[in-house]
Amino acid sequence: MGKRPLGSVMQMRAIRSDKGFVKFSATVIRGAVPAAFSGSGDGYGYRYGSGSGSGYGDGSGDGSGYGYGDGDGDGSGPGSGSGYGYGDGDGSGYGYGDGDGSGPGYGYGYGYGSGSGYGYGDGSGYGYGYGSGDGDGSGYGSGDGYGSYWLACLTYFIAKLPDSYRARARQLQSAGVKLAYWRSTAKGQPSNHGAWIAEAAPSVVHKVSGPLEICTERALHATLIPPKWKGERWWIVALHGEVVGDDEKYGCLEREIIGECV
Amino acid sequence: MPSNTKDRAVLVTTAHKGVFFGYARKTDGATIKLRAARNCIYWTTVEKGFLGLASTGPGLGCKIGPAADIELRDITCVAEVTDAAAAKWENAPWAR
Repeated sequence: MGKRPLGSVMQMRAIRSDKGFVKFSATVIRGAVPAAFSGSGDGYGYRYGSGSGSGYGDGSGDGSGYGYGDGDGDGSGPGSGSGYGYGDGDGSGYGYGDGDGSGPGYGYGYGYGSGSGYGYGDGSGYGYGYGSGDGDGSGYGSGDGYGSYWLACLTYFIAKLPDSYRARARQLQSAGVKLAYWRSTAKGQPSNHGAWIAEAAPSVVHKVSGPLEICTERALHATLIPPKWKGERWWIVALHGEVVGDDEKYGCLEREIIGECV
Repeated sequence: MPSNTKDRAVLVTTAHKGVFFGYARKTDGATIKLRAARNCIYWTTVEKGFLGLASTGPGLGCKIGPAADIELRDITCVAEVTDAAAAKWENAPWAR
């Protein structure tokens, strides 16, 4: 897809569904639709029918299609972010035909979504069929090129902490201690392959023995890009002592739980 | 078209696949400063593509980060956000 001039109006696709056509437009001020977030798929419908002699036959068929696409990208280190996306779409097709005599029929359809899709239909008798499909993608997007968004969001979450936890966070920030996020299971346990530890709660301090080595059991981890990781609960944590790693994954030997992101 | 000297609601995407809503005064240049930026962590097929986030706003199935003031680089697309869509962004709760 090529770049469009400033202020151009890009007509989004016409979405055909059982309820008719749905259209919307969006004004692209600058740039173009990133390939990572656009997708298209094709639907294909097919029907074949045969009959012979005289008489009358009719038939109908339904088809369905689907499509998906995926993409990923990673970035790490200060000044980079990461995100990934994928989309999927649905397509549907139908075919119908009626007539008499004999002969083959076919139909086809197409759809737009992400990835690819197809539809098919079949029926008895002969005639023709037509199928169409459409779909829309879903996606993920969490990178900003800096990892700065979630760093900035620390302020938002800290402001919502109870007074004592908020004071502790600010005390640590003033002392230059690195604050980041850590995601846990609903029960406050590691959700990204960590070993069993004391259940996460405000003021709980996790410690491991060194030498510090990130991505091993000799490190406690945290991140400034929390969507990259799993875990039902998000915590603001302070990383004490030596800290290694980058925005995506930090490691240290002592991690203090400040409070939960709510 | 809103004046370029006034903040306007925009949807900005980056080469790092970030999708952000926010208010920008300037949308040209290598970087864009967004006030009260919200990161769309996840959106669904209901939005009919990411530009639906600019046209109709995030739906109930979307996951939206909290508001923060940020500066974005590696811009790939800037789209104007409709008033109706901006209202949905404003009202979207933070969701993991």
